[in-house]
Amino acid sequence: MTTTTSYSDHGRSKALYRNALRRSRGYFGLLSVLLLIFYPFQYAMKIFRDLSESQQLRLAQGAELMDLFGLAGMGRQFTAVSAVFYTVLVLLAPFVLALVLNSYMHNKNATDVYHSLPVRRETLLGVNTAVAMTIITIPVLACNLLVILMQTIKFGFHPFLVGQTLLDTAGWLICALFIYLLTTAVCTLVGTVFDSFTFSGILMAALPILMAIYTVLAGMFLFGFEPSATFLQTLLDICPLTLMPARVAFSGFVTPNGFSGLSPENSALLFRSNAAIVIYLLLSAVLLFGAMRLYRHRGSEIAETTTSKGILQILVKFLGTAIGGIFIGMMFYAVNAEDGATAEMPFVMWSVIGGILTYSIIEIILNRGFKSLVKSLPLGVGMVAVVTASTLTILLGGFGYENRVPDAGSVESLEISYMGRFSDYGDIMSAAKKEGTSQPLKSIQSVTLSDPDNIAAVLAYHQDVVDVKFRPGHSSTDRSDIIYSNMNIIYHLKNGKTIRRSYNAVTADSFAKLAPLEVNAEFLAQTHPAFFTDPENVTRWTIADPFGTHKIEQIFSDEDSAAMLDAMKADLLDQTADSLLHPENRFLAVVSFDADLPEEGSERFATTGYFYVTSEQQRTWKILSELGIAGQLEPDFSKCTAVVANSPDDVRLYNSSRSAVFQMLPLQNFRYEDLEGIRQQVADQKDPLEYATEYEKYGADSYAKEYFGQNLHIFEDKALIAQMAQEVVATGAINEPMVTLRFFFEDSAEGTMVSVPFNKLPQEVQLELRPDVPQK
Amino acid sequence: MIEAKSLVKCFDDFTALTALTTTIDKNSIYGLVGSNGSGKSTFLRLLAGVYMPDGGTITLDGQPVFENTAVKERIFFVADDLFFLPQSNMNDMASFYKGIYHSFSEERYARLCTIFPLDPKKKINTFSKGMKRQAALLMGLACMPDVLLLDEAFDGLDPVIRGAVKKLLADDIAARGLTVIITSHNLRELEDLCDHVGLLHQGHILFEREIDELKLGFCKVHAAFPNGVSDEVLGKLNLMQVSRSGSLLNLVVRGTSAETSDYLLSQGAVFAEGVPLTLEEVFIHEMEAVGYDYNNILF
Repeated sequence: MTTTTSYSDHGRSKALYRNALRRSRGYFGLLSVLLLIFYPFQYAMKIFRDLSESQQLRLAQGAELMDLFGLAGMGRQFTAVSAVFYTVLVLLAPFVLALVLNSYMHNKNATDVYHSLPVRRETLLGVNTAVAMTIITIPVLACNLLVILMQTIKFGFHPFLVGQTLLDTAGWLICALFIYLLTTAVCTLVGTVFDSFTFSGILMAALPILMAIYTVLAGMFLFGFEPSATFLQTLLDICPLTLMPARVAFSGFVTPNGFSGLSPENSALLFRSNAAIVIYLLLSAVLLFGAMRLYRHRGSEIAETTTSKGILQILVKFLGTAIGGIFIGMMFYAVNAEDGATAEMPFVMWSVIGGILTYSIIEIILNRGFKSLVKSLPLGVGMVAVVTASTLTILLGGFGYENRVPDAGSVESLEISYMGRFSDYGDIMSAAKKEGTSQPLKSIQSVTLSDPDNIAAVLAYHQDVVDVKFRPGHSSTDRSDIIYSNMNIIYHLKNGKTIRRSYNAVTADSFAKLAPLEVNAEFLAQTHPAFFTDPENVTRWTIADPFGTHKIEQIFSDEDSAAMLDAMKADLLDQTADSLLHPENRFLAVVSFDADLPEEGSERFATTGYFYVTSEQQRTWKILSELGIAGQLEPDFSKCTAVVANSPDDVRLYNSSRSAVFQMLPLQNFRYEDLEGIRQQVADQKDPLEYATEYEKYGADSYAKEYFGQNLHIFEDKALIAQMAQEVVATGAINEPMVTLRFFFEDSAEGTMVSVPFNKLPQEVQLELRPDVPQK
Repeated sequence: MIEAKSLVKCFDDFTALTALTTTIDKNSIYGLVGSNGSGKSTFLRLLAGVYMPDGGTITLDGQPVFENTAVKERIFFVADDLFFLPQSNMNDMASFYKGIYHSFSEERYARLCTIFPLDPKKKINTFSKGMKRQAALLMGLACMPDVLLLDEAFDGLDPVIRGAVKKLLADDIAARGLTVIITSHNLRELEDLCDHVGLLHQGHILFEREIDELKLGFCKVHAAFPNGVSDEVLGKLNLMQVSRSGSLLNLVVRGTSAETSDYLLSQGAVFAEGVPLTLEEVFIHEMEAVGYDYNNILF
């Protein structure tokens, strides 16, 4: 008897499958045609067209043929267009098919027929799943095989890419299966197609959207909040709609023969992404089993009824209330954001109002009217209270998150996006280790520090930042001594955990706490090009006096370059933080070099570097003397006809904004002939505020002042000029006023800007520059 | 045999069937009547396995129906509101049912297609209401089930087709022991078809009888007494109902019409003759006899 029944069930399944597939052939055809047009056809158009001139040039320069087409995906199987359409089609298809194939559950007449058939409900659900996956799998697989074929014809057979494409295809299909089954599970719980559409859509997208909204919220209100890449990747991995599209981010590491340049962090992310696919496969099995159980116990009578009860409806209402409330709160916060401090209360108020509004709208939609609204409002108020409590938690410091600074003893190492005073002159870069191909250069934006002195300096900085808690846009904390440094810190603790913080803007006093890093060997080895530039790569040396009157360009032998670099390194290591912040030595010269790109595979290199030589740096000066250069660098101050000074608050126009030590950017040149123009500007100086309408784009900032000559001062007294020249420094304290000076030498067509601490200037100069400040 | 014991079905806070208990023999046509919302369709859906009972049991030959494919294969349900696969024609539907009901007879289907005036290649959604009803009945008959459940089956059928369907059902009952359960809120429609009738009221069977048994117990007689008749004369009859219109009396009496007519003629009636009782009238009187006002229940 059992055998007969099993056989009969099998026969019915086959019949149902064939019948459902035949009736769904329209969807099959539509999906196939769309995929064909937007996937293999796009790919063919991209790779089989003639190479442009620039592509031919790159090919001649040794670039990989495949690299010329901007192909994306783990198997380099997508064009930009196909990646978008493939994503939409493959992820939308299971959703639509689930709604269509299960729509009989939501029609009383259809339910009468289907549920009276001698077919178990599990069989019905299983057959429909098989039909949906057949409709999706065949065109997806066929299109991918077609792309693999074209790829092989054009670029040759690359097993790695073929494997990745097939693995990726499996991932897409697993996500499609998951989406289908999730939607089906929802279909078994609700009574209408609309509810199925709404609930499953919200369930699929709500969690990552909610996490993303809270992430943005924390970024807005939680001081120092910095989500990790892992966290952000998790946002994408936990959503079946974003898991596979997010993998396109790994395209940059894919070569025809394997992955290249994957950092340990990226490898971990890729592993997590792969693991997520496997988890989705397992979840799909659980979901299939669960959906069958739910369907077996589904009351046929709920067809065509709205889903006004149940945990699913409560969950959807809560997600909707949270998303809607916070989103509306954010909108009104943005309106009031010019004054951040007072915008927080409107945010809370509007998130509450928005939450209640959203809840009411969802309630009205789900129950098709206002009838149940009043009765269910207490539930809505409860949900809004939960959401408000969560947002208030963030606004009130996230349970101590804002104030947490790790103990020095607990920190193993740290990464900080601080590259020091030499960072604005030229990027420090790295390239992936790979033979035979050219890889894009990657700019290095952070250092890794484990020296206890460095950890202590960063912790002191962090503590000061936390104590001050400067929040941009808050009227109560608006101040002028702010440095927008966009600093990210990642502490690697000894217990294996990490702490991340990000501070966009800090006070100059806080920033100055990082000054000790500037003289630390571990830090300099990662930030000054002298420490990682091979002498044989140096192509040219440029040595100039600080005022730019004498500039000598030379090509040194490798030995001389090596000696110069060694001397620079030794002098840099001999400096102290105090000598940088409060220099007493004479500024002698600016030494810079240009270098060729090193061999591929260098983990750290730069194509340029510079060094300020003062009388403290004897080793470098000694080599310059031995090479006969030092003697040529003495400016003749008798030829200096004028000095133009900017007001002290304008000095940051010319300074590195990313350093805890003040240091003028090198070679900020001007022309002697500019002097007459400056004289005219000073003579005609105007208040830019009076011209705000005419020159709105300039506003009243330093550039505008300079444009109108208001902040420029000309000194032509020889004695004053000599005094000022004596006080010129290479570095200084960032939280003390500095003045930018231009020394105009009549025997030099060009000059270089220099700086002097305001307090070191002659008193009459100080008075002219800033008459409102008492002189020391 | 179909047996329902204390069958309960609730829809939220509304109880459609309250401890319904009944037994329906094989090889019979059972008519289920009741007002709108009395639970007729719910009972059929429970018997078809569409609904899961909230209490009690409903079985076919001792086997529960819900999610029991072996039992459900013997049952075909024609619902009041019909459903056909989208964009399908009769041949498509036949193909669909053929894959599911192993008892489906292509030969029978072909023959039925000649009886019902329907184009099997024409899309069903272009059919009129009555034609759709015919198509559904045709599918049910072609599947050759042991139990055919018809919910308001004759709704929309013209008299000719109605007669044809009745004959087909009668043939199947005779030829292969088909059991038919048919619901209606119209007793007149069922009286020449059913051999059993049950009245469903407020979720339970209020009353059920064999039709022959029902009709044999009553008679209706028209008699004329130009000089009037005394209550004493009528009192000797087992009167259920009497109405007067001048000298004409309309009597419903427990007994046979022949005996009653003879008695009235012997008491001075110028004429007395029996007239057929409709099923509705029988129900009225039977139910009044047990204390219910039929009109309040059914209409």
